[in-house]
Amino acid sequence: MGFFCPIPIIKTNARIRGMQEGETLEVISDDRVILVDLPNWCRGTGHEYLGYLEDEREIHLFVKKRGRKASPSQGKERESLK
Amino acid sequence: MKTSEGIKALGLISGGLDSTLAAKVLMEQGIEVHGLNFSTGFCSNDQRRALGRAGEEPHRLRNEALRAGADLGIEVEIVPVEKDYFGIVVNPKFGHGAHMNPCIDCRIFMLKKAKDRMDQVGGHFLFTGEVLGQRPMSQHLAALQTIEKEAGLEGLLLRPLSAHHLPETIPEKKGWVDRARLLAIAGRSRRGQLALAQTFQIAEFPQPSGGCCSLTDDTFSRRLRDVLDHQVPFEPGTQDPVLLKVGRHFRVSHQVKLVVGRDETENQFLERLRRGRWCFEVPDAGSPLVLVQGEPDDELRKLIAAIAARYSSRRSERLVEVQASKDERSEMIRVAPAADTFLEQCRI
Repeated sequence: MGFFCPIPIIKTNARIRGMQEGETLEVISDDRVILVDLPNWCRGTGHEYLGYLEDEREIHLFVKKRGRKASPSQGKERESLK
Repeated sequence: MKTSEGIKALGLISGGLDSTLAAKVLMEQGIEVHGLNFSTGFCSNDQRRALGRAGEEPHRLRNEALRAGADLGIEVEIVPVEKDYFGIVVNPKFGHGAHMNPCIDCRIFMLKKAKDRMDQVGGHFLFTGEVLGQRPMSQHLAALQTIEKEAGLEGLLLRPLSAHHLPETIPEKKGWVDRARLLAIAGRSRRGQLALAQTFQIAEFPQPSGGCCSLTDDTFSRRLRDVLDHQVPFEPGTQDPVLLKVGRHFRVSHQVKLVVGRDETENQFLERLRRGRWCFEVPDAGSPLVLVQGEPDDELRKLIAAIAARYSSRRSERLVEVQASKDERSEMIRVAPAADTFLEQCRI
């Protein structure tokens, strides 16, 4: 919270490196542009973007760690989990 | 025999058309591409995001490097380099461009960092989307050669878009990359790139605008120069560079400068920085928040109050009550709004 691009992506990248394949990371941010950037990052890295939930100003986004490249279309659409 | 198999190239990806095309040209040859994007703290897009203006469409503020990586299906790794980078902004070996932009040193800096990363991940060579003759300071032939040499990358830096105008590189000599399938684009025209984008069906890319570097901006550069000249505490990678984009700036003494918010968004941003600092505003009026850097004495506080009054909705009144506060301390100052001629003398 309180960080703006590109810091949330840098932190996400650092955190997910230490995780096992199949584990899910919850990213909490108040920067709405992350709704665009995180799915894009997932499309590039091959991690699976699962969607997001909003709690007032907080946005909770979920990423499943994947070990292989995804197709460029994966995670392209923003998807609310609500 | 296909010799590109198992060959990995790292490239500087801004998300602009040129770096996207350079990556695509190599991917078409079967090269594994890994993108790097360095976060310098001087990206105006990032600064706009930090300001948090209401109603801005998220897509307009997205990170273009990540978007390009997504469209290409490659990882673009964002590497934070703010503190190291500031050193070359302050003291560039090859000098500044028209403003505070150290373009040649910037390229050398990024390529050195990219080389380190290449060694870490077992990459074979580096590439960029540079086009010969496109930018006056950093993309003429001598500059391209200087950059390559200073970065310690002689022969290992491929510029696929202008390759036919440049000496053959190691990846071409070794047969990792087919030189015949590289390009001969040069100059400032975008025709060659736009045609190639059509061939590759790349439809989404930001319009070229000289990049999003605040250091090429006249006003930002003047304010940064003032910060350096007056030894104002400045930490890259924090809100400090953002503050240079916000509001009207005035220097009222060697030690004291002030920032006057121009609208609600800027006032809210300044509000977040007020702890431990003097702030001025006109109560019960349309008023900017005036944030002070440095410790003003009684006389300077009157002067700053006059500036706050000038930018309030009471600017036409003869005397205006201005509230000055710092943490728990607060005082009211009655002043005449400052004259415009005075403001021009101290505007940064």
